[in-house]
Amino acid sequence: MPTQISRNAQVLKFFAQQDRGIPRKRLVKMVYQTDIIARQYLGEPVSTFEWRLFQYGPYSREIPSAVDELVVGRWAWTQETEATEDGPGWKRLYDSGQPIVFDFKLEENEVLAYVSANYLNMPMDELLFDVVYETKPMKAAKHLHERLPMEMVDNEGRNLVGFDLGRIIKAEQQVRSGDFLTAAQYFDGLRNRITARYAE
Amino acid sequence: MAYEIVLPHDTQSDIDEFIETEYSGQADQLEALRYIEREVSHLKANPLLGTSPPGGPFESRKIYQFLVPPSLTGRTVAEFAYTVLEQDGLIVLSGFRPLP
Repeated sequence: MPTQISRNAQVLKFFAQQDRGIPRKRLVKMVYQTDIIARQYLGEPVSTFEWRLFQYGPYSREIPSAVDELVVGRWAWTQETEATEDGPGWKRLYDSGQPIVFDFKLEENEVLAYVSANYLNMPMDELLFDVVYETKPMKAAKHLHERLPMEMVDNEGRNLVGFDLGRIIKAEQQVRSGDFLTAAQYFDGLRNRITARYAE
Repeated sequence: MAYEIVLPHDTQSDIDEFIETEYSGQADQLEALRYIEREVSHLKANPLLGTSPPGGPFESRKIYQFLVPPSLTGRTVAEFAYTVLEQDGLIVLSGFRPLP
Protein backbone atom coordinates (compact mmCIF):
# COMPACT_ATOMS: atom_id res chain seq x y z
CA MET A 1 0.00 0.00 0.00
CA PRO A 2 1.42 3.40 -0.95
CA THR A 3 2.73 5.62 1.82
CA GLN A 4 0.31 8.40 2.68
CA ILE A 5 1.85 11.59 3.94
CA SER A 6 0.51 15.09 3.85
CA ARG A 7 1.00 17.29 0.82
CA ASN A 8 3.13 19.72 2.86
CA ALA A 9 5.44 16.94 4.05
CA GLN A 10 5.74 15.70 0.45
CA VAL A 11 6.95 19.10 -0.71
CA LEU A 12 9.57 19.23 2.06
CA LYS A 13 10.72 15.70 1.26
CA PHE A 14 11.04 16.55 -2.41
CA PHE A 15 13.50 19.34 -1.65
CA ALA A 16 15.32 17.27 0.99
CA GLN A 17 15.86 14.68 -1.75
CA GLN A 18 17.45 17.28 -4.02
CA ASP A 19 19.88 18.70 -1.44
CA ARG A 20 21.05 16.37 1.32
CA GLY A 21 21.01 18.30 4.57
CA ILE A 22 19.13 21.25 3.12
CA PRO A 23 19.22 24.14 5.61
CA ARG A 24 15.79 25.08 6.99
CA LYS A 25 16.17 28.67 5.84
CA ARG A 26 16.69 27.61 2.21
CA LEU A 27 14.08 24.87 2.42
CA VAL A 28 11.43 27.36 3.49
CA LYS A 29 12.31 29.73 0.67
CA MET A 30 12.21 26.90 -1.89
CA VAL A 31 8.71 25.93 -0.79
CA TYR A 32 7.61 29.56 -0.79
CA GLN A 33 8.91 30.05 -4.34
CA THR A 34 7.15 26.84 -5.38
CA ASP A 35 3.85 28.21 -4.13
CA ILE A 36 4.47 31.58 -5.77
CA ILE A 37 5.25 30.07 -9.18
CA ALA A 38 2.46 27.51 -8.93
CA ARG A 39 -0.01 30.27 -8.15
CA GLN A 40 1.34 32.33 -11.07
CA TYR A 41 1.15 29.54 -13.64
CA LEU A 42 -1.43 27.10 -12.28
CA GLY A 43 -3.63 29.40 -10.26
CA GLU A 44 -3.13 27.51 -7.00
CA PRO A 45 -0.28 26.63 -4.66
CA VAL A 46 1.36 23.23 -4.41
CA SER A 47 1.41 23.24 -0.61
CA THR A 48 -1.21 24.32 1.91
CA PHE A 49 1.23 26.28 4.03
CA GLU A 50 -0.06 29.65 5.23
CA TRP A 51 2.69 32.13 4.56
CA ARG A 52 3.39 34.99 6.92
CA LEU A 53 5.98 37.72 7.13
CA PHE A 54 8.68 36.83 9.62
CA GLN A 55 12.02 38.40 10.43
CA TYR A 56 13.87 36.43 7.76
CA GLY A 57 11.18 36.58 5.13
CA PRO A 58 8.23 34.34 4.37
CA TYR A 59 7.57 31.58 6.87
CA SER A 60 4.74 29.27 7.82
CA ARG A 61 4.04 28.10 11.35
CA GLU A 62 3.06 24.73 9.86
CA ILE A 63 6.63 24.02 8.71
CA PRO A 64 7.76 22.36 11.98
CA SER A 65 4.78 19.98 12.07
CA ALA A 66 5.41 18.94 8.45
CA VAL A 67 9.07 18.30 9.31
CA ASP A 68 7.96 16.31 12.39
CA GLU A 69 5.69 14.22 10.18
CA LEU A 70 8.68 13.27 8.02
CA VAL A 71 10.85 12.54 11.04
CA VAL A 72 8.25 10.43 12.86
CA GLY A 73 7.64 8.43 9.69
CA ARG A 74 11.40 8.02 9.22
CA TRP A 75 11.25 9.57 5.78
CA ALA A 76 13.74 12.20 6.87
CA TRP A 77 15.80 13.26 9.83
CA THR A 78 16.99 16.57 11.15
CA GLN A 79 20.21 17.89 12.54
CA GLU A 80 20.44 21.03 14.59
CA THR A 81 23.50 22.91 15.69
CA GLU A 82 23.46 25.69 18.23
CA ALA A 83 24.58 29.17 17.30
CA THR A 84 28.01 30.01 18.64
CA GLU A 85 30.26 33.03 18.60
CA ASP A 86 31.80 31.58 15.45
CA GLY A 87 28.62 31.31 13.47
CA PRO A 88 24.88 30.86 13.29
CA GLY A 89 23.03 27.70 14.25
CA TRP A 90 21.69 25.39 11.57
CA LYS A 91 18.62 23.28 11.20
CA ARG A 92 19.11 20.81 8.40
CA LEU A 93 16.75 18.30 6.89
CA TYR A 94 18.16 15.04 5.55
CA ASP A 95 16.21 12.70 3.33
CA SER A 96 16.33 9.13 4.66
CA GLY A 97 16.35 7.59 1.21
CA GLN A 98 13.01 5.95 1.94
CA PRO A 99 10.88 6.42 -1.20
CA ILE A 100 7.31 7.66 -0.97
CA VAL A 101 4.51 7.97 -3.49
CA PHE A 102 4.18 11.62 -4.43
CA ASP A 103 0.75 12.73 -5.58
CA PHE A 104 1.86 15.83 -7.46
CA LYS A 105 0.16 16.60 -10.74
CA LEU A 106 2.31 16.81 -13.87
CA GLU A 107 2.26 20.57 -13.94
CA GLU A 108 3.11 20.73 -10.22
CA ASN A 109 6.08 18.48 -10.87
CA GLU A 110 7.22 20.88 -13.54
CA VAL A 111 7.07 23.79 -11.08
CA LEU A 112 8.96 21.80 -8.44
CA ALA A 113 11.63 20.89 -10.98
CA TYR A 114 11.90 24.50 -12.11
CA VAL A 115 12.34 25.80 -8.56
CA SER A 116 14.88 23.11 -7.79
CA ALA A 117 16.90 23.78 -10.96
CA ASN A 118 16.90 27.54 -10.57
CA TYR A 119 17.08 28.25 -6.85
CA LEU A 120 18.63 25.29 -5.06
CA ASN A 121 22.20 26.40 -5.71
CA MET A 122 21.62 30.13 -5.89
CA PRO A 123 23.62 32.06 -3.28
CA MET A 124 21.34 32.74 -0.32
CA ASP A 125 21.66 36.52 -0.45
CA GLU A 126 20.75 36.50 -4.13
CA LEU A 127 17.81 34.18 -3.50
CA LEU A 128 16.55 36.41 -0.71
CA PHE A 129 17.10 39.88 -2.12
CA ASP A 130 16.70 39.28 -5.86
CA VAL A 131 13.96 36.66 -5.80
CA VAL A 132 12.01 36.11 -2.58
CA TYR A 133 11.89 39.68 -1.28
CA GLU A 134 10.96 40.87 -4.76
CA THR A 135 7.77 38.81 -4.88
CA LYS A 136 4.57 40.83 -4.70
CA PRO A 137 3.20 39.27 -1.50
CA MET A 138 6.47 40.09 0.31
CA LYS A 139 6.40 43.65 -0.95
CA ALA A 140 2.75 44.03 0.05
CA ALA A 141 3.23 42.87 3.63
CA LYS A 142 3.93 45.66 6.10
CA HIS A 143 3.78 44.11 9.54
CA LEU A 144 5.63 41.23 11.15
CA HIS A 145 3.57 38.02 11.35
CA GLU A 146 1.05 39.40 8.87
CA ARG A 147 -0.40 36.84 6.46
CA LEU A 148 1.14 37.23 3.00
CA PRO A 149 -1.48 37.97 0.33
CA MET A 150 -0.35 35.10 -1.89
CA GLU A 151 -3.52 35.19 -3.99
CA MET A 152 -2.41 38.48 -5.53
CA VAL A 153 -0.13 36.56 -7.92
CA ASP A 154 -2.73 33.97 -8.93
CA ASN A 155 -2.62 33.31 -12.69
CA GLU A 156 -0.23 36.21 -13.29
CA GLY A 157 2.15 34.04 -15.32
CA ARG A 158 -0.62 32.19 -17.13
CA ASN A 159 -2.21 35.48 -18.21
CA LEU A 160 1.13 36.85 -19.33
CA VAL A 161 2.08 33.79 -21.36
CA GLY A 162 -1.43 33.15 -22.61
CA PHE A 163 -1.15 29.37 -22.49
CA ASP A 164 -2.23 26.97 -19.78
CA LEU A 165 0.78 25.00 -18.53
CA GLY A 166 -1.29 21.90 -17.82
CA ARG A 167 -2.64 21.83 -21.37
CA ILE A 168 0.83 22.38 -22.83
CA ILE A 169 2.29 19.50 -20.82
CA LYS A 170 -0.63 17.28 -21.82
CA ALA A 171 0.02 18.08 -25.50
CA GLU A 172 3.71 17.30 -25.10
CA GLN A 173 2.76 13.99 -23.55
CA GLN A 174 0.53 13.19 -26.51
CA VAL A 175 3.61 13.41 -28.71
CA ARG A 176 5.56 11.09 -26.41
CA SER A 177 2.71 8.58 -26.58
CA GLY A 178 2.55 8.78 -30.37
CA ASP A 179 -0.70 10.76 -30.58
CA PHE A 180 0.49 13.28 -33.16
CA LEU A 181 0.76 14.05 -36.87
CA THR A 182 3.64 15.63 -38.72
CA ALA A 183 2.93 19.13 -40.02
CA ALA A 184 2.72 17.82 -43.59
CA GLN A 185 0.27 15.07 -42.62
CA TYR A 186 -1.88 17.46 -40.62
CA PHE A 187 -2.10 20.29 -43.13
CA ASP A 188 -2.68 17.96 -46.08
CA GLY A 189 -5.44 16.24 -44.12
CA LEU A 190 -7.06 19.50 -43.08
CA ARG A 191 -6.88 20.82 -46.64
CA ASN A 192 -8.57 17.67 -47.92
CA ARG A 193 -11.29 17.89 -45.24
CA ILE A 194 -12.09 21.53 -46.07
CA THR A 195 -12.16 20.78 -49.79
CA ALA A 196 -14.40 17.74 -49.27
CA ARG A 197 -16.77 19.66 -46.98
CA TYR A 198 -17.49 22.25 -49.64
CA ALA A 199 -17.65 19.73 -52.47
CA GLU A 200 -20.63 18.05 -50.84
CA MET B 1 19.93 20.40 -38.04
CA ALA B 2 16.62 19.81 -39.82
CA TYR B 3 13.67 19.44 -37.52
CA GLU B 4 10.39 17.63 -38.04
CA ILE B 5 7.41 19.64 -36.85
CA VAL B 6 4.74 17.61 -35.09
CA LEU B 7 1.29 18.53 -33.85
CA PRO B 8 -0.22 16.69 -30.90
CA HIS B 9 -3.92 15.89 -31.00
CA ASP B 10 -4.99 18.90 -28.89
CA THR B 11 -3.12 21.40 -31.08
CA GLN B 12 -4.73 19.89 -34.18
CA SER B 13 -8.14 20.35 -32.57
CA ASP B 14 -7.38 23.96 -31.65
CA ILE B 15 -6.36 24.84 -35.23
CA ASP B 16 -9.34 22.92 -36.66
CA GLU B 17 -11.70 24.85 -34.42
CA PHE B 18 -10.07 28.18 -35.18
CA ILE B 19 -10.31 27.77 -38.95
CA GLU B 20 -13.82 26.36 -38.82
CA THR B 21 -15.30 29.00 -36.54
CA GLU B 22 -13.32 32.09 -37.50
CA TYR B 23 -13.48 31.74 -41.30
CA SER B 24 -16.44 31.17 -43.54
CA GLY B 25 -16.31 29.47 -46.92
CA GLN B 26 -13.79 27.25 -48.59
CA ALA B 27 -11.58 30.02 -49.99
CA ASP B 28 -11.17 31.84 -46.65
CA GLN B 29 -10.62 28.66 -44.69
CA LEU B 30 -7.98 27.44 -47.13
CA GLU B 31 -6.34 30.87 -47.06
CA ALA B 32 -6.15 30.77 -43.27
CA LEU B 33 -4.69 27.26 -43.48
CA ARG B 34 -2.07 28.50 -45.94
CA TYR B 35 -1.05 31.30 -43.57
CA ILE B 36 -0.63 28.94 -40.65
CA GLU B 37 1.17 26.34 -42.75
CA ARG B 38 3.56 28.99 -44.03
CA GLU B 39 4.37 30.10 -40.49
CA VAL B 40 5.03 26.51 -39.49
CA SER B 41 7.54 26.24 -42.32
CA HIS B 42 9.26 29.43 -41.05
CA LEU B 43 9.52 27.82 -37.65
CA LYS B 44 10.88 24.66 -39.16
CA ALA B 45 13.56 26.65 -40.97
CA ASN B 46 14.43 28.65 -37.86
CA PRO B 47 13.35 27.23 -34.49
CA LEU B 48 14.91 30.26 -32.78
CA LEU B 49 12.12 32.57 -33.95
CA GLY B 50 10.08 32.13 -30.79
CA THR B 51 10.67 33.87 -27.49
CA SER B 52 10.93 32.24 -24.07
CA PRO B 53 8.95 33.97 -21.34
CA PRO B 54 11.41 34.39 -18.46
CA GLY B 55 10.98 33.53 -14.81
CA GLY B 56 8.86 30.40 -14.87
CA PRO B 57 8.27 26.97 -16.33
CA PHE B 58 7.79 28.43 -19.80
CA GLU B 59 11.49 29.27 -19.93
CA SER B 60 12.10 25.87 -21.52
CA ARG B 61 9.45 26.52 -24.15
CA LYS B 62 8.99 29.16 -26.80
CA ILE B 63 6.14 31.23 -28.11
CA TYR B 64 5.93 32.30 -31.74
CA GLN B 65 3.49 34.96 -32.86
CA PHE B 66 2.34 35.48 -36.41
CA LEU B 67 -0.29 37.12 -38.58
CA VAL B 68 -3.39 35.38 -39.88
CA PRO B 69 -5.92 36.71 -42.38
CA PRO B 70 -8.55 38.91 -40.66
CA SER B 71 -11.15 36.57 -39.26
CA LEU B 72 -14.90 36.91 -38.84
CA THR B 73 -14.36 38.24 -35.32
CA GLY B 74 -11.51 40.51 -36.37
CA ARG B 75 -8.62 38.38 -35.17
CA THR B 76 -5.41 39.00 -37.04
CA VAL B 77 -2.74 37.48 -34.82
CA ALA B 78 -2.20 33.97 -33.51
CA GLU B 79 0.59 32.18 -31.70
CA PHE B 80 2.11 28.80 -31.17
CA ALA B 81 3.69 27.49 -28.00
CA TYR B 82 6.39 25.02 -28.92
CA THR B 83 9.15 22.89 -27.53
CA VAL B 84 12.29 21.89 -29.37
CA LEU B 85 13.31 18.31 -28.65
CA GLU B 86 16.92 18.42 -29.79
CA GLN B 87 17.62 14.72 -29.29
CA ASP B 88 14.56 13.64 -31.26
CA GLY B 89 14.95 16.32 -33.91
CA LEU B 90 11.38 17.42 -33.25
CA ILE B 91 9.60 20.70 -32.79
CA VAL B 92 6.43 20.01 -30.84
CA LEU B 93 3.69 22.56 -31.43
CA SER B 94 2.19 22.15 -27.99
CA GLY B 95 -0.29 25.00 -28.13
CA PHE B 96 -2.14 27.24 -30.57
CA ARG B 97 -4.32 30.22 -29.82
CA PRO B 98 -5.63 33.26 -31.62
CA LEU B 99 -5.00 36.50 -29.79
CA PRO B 100 -8.06 38.41 -28.67
